[in-house]
Amino acid sequence: MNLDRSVAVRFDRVSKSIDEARVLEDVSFEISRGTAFSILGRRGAGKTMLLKLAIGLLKPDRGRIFVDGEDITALDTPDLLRVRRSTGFVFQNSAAFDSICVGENVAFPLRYHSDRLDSEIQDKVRELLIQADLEQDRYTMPVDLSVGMRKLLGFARALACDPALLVIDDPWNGVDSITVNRICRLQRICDQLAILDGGHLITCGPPDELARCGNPVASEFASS
Amino acid sequence: MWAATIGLTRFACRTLRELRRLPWDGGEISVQLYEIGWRSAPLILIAGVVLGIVMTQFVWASLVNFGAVDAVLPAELSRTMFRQVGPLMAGLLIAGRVGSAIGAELAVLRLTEQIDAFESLAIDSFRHLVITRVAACVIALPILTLLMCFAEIAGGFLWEATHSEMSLSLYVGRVFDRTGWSDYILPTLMTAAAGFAIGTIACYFGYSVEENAVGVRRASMHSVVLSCLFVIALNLMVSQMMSVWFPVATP
Repeated sequence: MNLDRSVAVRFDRVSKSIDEARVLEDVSFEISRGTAFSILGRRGAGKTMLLKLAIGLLKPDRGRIFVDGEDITALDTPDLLRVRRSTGFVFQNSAAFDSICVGENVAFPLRYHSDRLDSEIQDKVRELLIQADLEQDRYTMPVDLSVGMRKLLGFARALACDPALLVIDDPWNGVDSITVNRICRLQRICDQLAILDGGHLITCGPPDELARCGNPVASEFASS
Repeated sequence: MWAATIGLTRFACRTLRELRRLPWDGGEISVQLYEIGWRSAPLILIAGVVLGIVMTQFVWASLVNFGAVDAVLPAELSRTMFRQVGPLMAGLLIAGRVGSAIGAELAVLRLTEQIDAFESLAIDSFRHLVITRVAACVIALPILTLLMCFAEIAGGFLWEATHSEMSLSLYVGRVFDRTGWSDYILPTLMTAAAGFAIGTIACYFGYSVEENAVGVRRASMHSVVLSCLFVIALNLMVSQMMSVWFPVATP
């Protein structure tokens, strides 16, 4: 057990393959509490897989992953769900529940996990939708939203239960510059950068340090 | 094939285990009961009435030369419906309508990462999506089977009324003339098992899909085919049990 309470997430020599192809190889890093940590890499580098491993949606082939000091690779389903109560995940393609409206998407985790009155839930939903600039689309179905608006919906839903750890997969995917600004208003994006390339984490540190580290891939990503 | 068999067996065992664990998600089960049960009712009613008319016509034509056909027809029809045709037809219709719908729905939820979204929100997707649907199938199918049997009997009366001018009270009296509780209970209970099979098979293929559009098509198709085979096999098994435990009394 990792008892260092200053560390929110720790990957310890994690490897993962899909159909014989090794996607992640001996990946190790730590994310401190209160830090905005970004992982960059080319398309197919395994960023999404890394994030899904971080909240236990996937299990690694080797290695251990600690969230809030707890080894989530050894947990059964009920304990994993308990750990996820304190995390939020924004999916690359938003993964909005398409059979219910925008407001109900945000209310869903609140109804499921809290004993709040319906009026309190509605207030919280309204507050989140105002932050995400989706208040006027409260009764719209997700299929009628643009890609960027669905992304914002994903943010609002993930933030509904005030998670201690927020994991965001590809925040800029299909998003226009105005929405980028809105997302930046919702969430601080980067204190630390990690670069994933060829299944390995090639470097990790503050963005300005990475630009000077000498690794061409890291320099390119950090400067961009 | 072998992997699918092992996967389905494990999935069914997990479903049984989770079904025994309370509390169930009552709100979601009632939503599924509406979708699976209430919205299947028109199909069951129409199919039942039509089947009742066709079967009565067919049996009447076969027995008319032996005489006294109007006296035995309602009772024979109801016994056949409750023991065999009702459970079988209701099972097959629900396997077709609900099996394909559940298979396709869960496959789409999987492919659009909505199942992962449930998990990421600390919601047990298996209990929320699978257990609620299986429970709704188990509850709805016996009720739909009874509905089908009575619709078939009503269809039989429609045919009788137009061909032999038999009154409703006489028809109802004759329908339950030679039937006992044993004719209703076991076949109707069997449909709860059929409901479990349909729900579990459809959920398995939808929940564990890995491909895109092809995966949705396969999930839907395999759900229907395998569910229908299970319903037929179960019906055969129960009819054999019935013939041993509760043999049909000759008039």
